[in-house]
Amino acid sequence: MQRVSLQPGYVIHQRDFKDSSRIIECYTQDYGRVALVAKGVRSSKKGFQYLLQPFLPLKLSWAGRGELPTLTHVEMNAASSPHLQGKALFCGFYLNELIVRLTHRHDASPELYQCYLEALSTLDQPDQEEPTLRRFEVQMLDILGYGLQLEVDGNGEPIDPHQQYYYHVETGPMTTPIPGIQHIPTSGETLLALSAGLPLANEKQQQESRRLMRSVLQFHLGGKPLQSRRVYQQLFKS
Amino acid sequence: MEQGLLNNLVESLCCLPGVGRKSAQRMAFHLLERDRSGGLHLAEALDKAMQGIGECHLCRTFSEKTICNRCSDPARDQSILCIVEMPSDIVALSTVDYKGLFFVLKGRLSPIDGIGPHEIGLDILEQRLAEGQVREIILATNATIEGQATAHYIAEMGKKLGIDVMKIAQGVPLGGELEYIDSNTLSHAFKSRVRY
Repeated sequence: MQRVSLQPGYVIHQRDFKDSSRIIECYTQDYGRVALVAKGVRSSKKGFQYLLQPFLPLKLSWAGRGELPTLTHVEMNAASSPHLQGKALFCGFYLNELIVRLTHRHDASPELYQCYLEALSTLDQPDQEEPTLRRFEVQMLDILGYGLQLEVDGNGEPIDPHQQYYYHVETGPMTTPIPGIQHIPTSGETLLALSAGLPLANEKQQQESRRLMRSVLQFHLGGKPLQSRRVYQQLFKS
Repeated sequence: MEQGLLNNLVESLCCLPGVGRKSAQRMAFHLLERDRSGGLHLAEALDKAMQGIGECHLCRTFSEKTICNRCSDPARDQSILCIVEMPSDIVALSTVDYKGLFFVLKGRLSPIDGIGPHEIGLDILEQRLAEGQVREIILATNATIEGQATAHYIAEMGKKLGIDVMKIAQGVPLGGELEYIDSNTLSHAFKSRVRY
């Protein structure tokens, strides 16, 4: 029987389970992504029901055997929490979906947890959605071992900021496109900015990095597209 | 043959929420042993309801007609529209002194589950708002993150069309003691304090 006490974490997603319970998908600092059963939380006034919401910094306790332990206690981890609204809120959902789709249960990474924390707090600031998402995507892939090749090209030469490159997940950036493979055209400048976590200077860099990250993520996610991006596009691009 | 019918009945009863095999069996035996007429009545009512109840074209709640009684009631104020997540929310709000109309989303935006604006009828709502009869919308979605996201999106839609957007208040419940109220609700209550 495993018993974990007051573990810092966030609710990532939840769904109804049986008549009155919920399965809460959490992302925690030292245990990675865990699924917990919050028993009776839909029907009783248990007291912590209102805390089981995404983006609230929590401390979670659970106990039990096997894949689905029981949530025993929840409390706030900080007095205040980032208050995401509008586009930032939907970007937050996107971060959550990335975590659900790309991390394995119980694969703990305090480093990635820290990145998630930082991403949430910068999303809270005005007009930081794009740079925050790009930074998180690069950091996340790096930590999970799918890191992008952003400093040297496919031939081992350092990236030249003034050169045009063609990026493919398996070859890295190439100076000339290889026929028969779909490449993402990206400037050296953008690659270096992504690598250093620098703010993307202009619309062109933002667009390039967006397309690059989309194609790389698509590669790692397999055929199933990210739902939250589709919803975001429906909501804000029409 | 009889065993087959009994089995079939028990399995069919299992589709009800909260009813497992054991309870289904108890219900089936009760109806067969003690209340055959009640059982027949239930079967008839179920049949009629499943065939006859559809969706109101205006507010999307359950209704036998294409336009439900509430939407076609001339005594109701056609210029105010209250937006709720579920048909059961209308029942909850029916005790409130409100004379406007409703719109039921039958869900909430939930990007991870792929539930977007189309799935909760926001295109129908937008059309309705664009017709110009509605002057005020009252957002009564649940106080969850998804509910807030939904409310925010509808609010933007309403503002673009020049409609007054209101949201039901959040705060201290009647009979509530401040000491026992969670800090998030309290800070909401504080932020939206009103002149006394």
